[in-house]
Amino acid sequence: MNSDIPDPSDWIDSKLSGLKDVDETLRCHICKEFFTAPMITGCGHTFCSLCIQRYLTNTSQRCPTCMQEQQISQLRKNVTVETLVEHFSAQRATILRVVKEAAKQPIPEVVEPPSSPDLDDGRRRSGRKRTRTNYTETLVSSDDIQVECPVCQAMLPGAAINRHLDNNCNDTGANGGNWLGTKKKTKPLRKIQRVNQASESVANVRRKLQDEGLSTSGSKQTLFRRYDEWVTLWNANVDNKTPRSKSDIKDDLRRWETTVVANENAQPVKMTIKNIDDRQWVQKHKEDYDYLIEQARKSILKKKQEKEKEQQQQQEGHQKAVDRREDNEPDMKRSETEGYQVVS
Amino acid sequence: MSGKRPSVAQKRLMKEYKQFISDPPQGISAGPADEDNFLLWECLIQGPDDTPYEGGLFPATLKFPQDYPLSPPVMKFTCEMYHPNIYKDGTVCISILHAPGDDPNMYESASERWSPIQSVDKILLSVMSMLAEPNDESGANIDASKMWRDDQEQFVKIVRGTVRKALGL
Repeated sequence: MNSDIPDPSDWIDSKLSGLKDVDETLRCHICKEFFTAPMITGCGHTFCSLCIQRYLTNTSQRCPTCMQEQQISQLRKNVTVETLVEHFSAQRATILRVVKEAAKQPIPEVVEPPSSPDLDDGRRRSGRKRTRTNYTETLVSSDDIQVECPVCQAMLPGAAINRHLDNNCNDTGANGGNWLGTKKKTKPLRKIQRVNQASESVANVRRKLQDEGLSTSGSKQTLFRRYDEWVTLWNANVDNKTPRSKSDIKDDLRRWETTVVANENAQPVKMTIKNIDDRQWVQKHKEDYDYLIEQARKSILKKKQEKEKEQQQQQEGHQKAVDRREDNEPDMKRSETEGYQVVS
Repeated sequence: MSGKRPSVAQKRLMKEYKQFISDPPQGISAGPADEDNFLLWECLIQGPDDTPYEGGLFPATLKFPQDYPLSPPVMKFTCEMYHPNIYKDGTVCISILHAPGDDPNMYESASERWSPIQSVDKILLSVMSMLAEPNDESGANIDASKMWRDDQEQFVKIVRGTVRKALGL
């Protein structure tokens, strides 16, 4: 079953065992999967958006790697790593297969192509030229660069950012649609605000849950935790390059409730002896106890009778066996069991 | 995995197990007790050389919470252990197994606590070095702590006794 879980150890026995480190670096330290919507912390460590948000809301306000203080608002997208993961994971299976096949056959030595100084020079020159053009291109088309809105963190072209801010982050107006409508018809997902348990009323949280189409049952604590997890799941989804549908996120929330929350609630309630007045308890449940005692007596009696019967049969059997064999060990065993039964 | 999609905890533990068996640390063996439930592991730890625990082979269990790796597992020796940092019921008291925030003995700095970047092999290695170097500042077994501080000879004697017991001698 282990072969279908890709992990860095797959590279260990291959010719490219160094790729183990590459593989490891592209994985989140929390879930050990390739980064999904990687976010970089203020201290420079990268985690999946969902993993780090969950950790910072539920466990500790410190970076898991270096223990420096850390807040969700400090997290930023790590776009380069996201692209890197995308390309590496797309090629991973192929590289692994090729490398493992190659391990079976001797690899022909790689011969460096001879390089002439002239060619080298030419290459370098053309390289410089290309860099320059790129630079000017970037300058000209700076309006096409995607920038993050400082208010709602939506990504939009530089040209649209001012209008976006003027409209209070609301681009759904007739004019605002032109930069959106050309490529995608879906509007960009927006992050939602966390609620503060100290300042937010329960009714408000209930309404928010209702607005999102989520369950509003449970105690105050449950409602707050549910909304908190919803915010975590939702905001992590917004960080995703290809966000999943709302119903998918709802499924995730449901799964979280059935595994994590249900398990916490399943812990046995501690019953302290102080809470119980034992005389009252005995009186209240006298009938039940009487019934149980009677049942227990009956079953003991029944077992005894059965065992006695068995013993009698065994004794007879043993008698025959002993007659036939001289080995008297089974006889000793029998007397041991007999002794045990007298006690019970 | 009970028919459903494995949870984050299950998935991560599968990976840890796979990595563990591909590159096992010396003197330690560990794995899920049952391949359908990755939340309970059994492990065997060899007593480190040049310590009273030398030559011993100590069985223990690791119980992982549903929200692993956000919260740490609980480690419990299933044989008799005499050690300042192991409770009499076998539960190991070591900073790497304490989540930041709960500090039963008020002495641990946040940097040596549990964090999701830790893993099973790191826990077991820490436990092994804990066997070699008890920390008498955090007494889980007060008697053993005192004995270790005041009467090393007697301490070694008792430990050797538990080692023989664990080996079934």
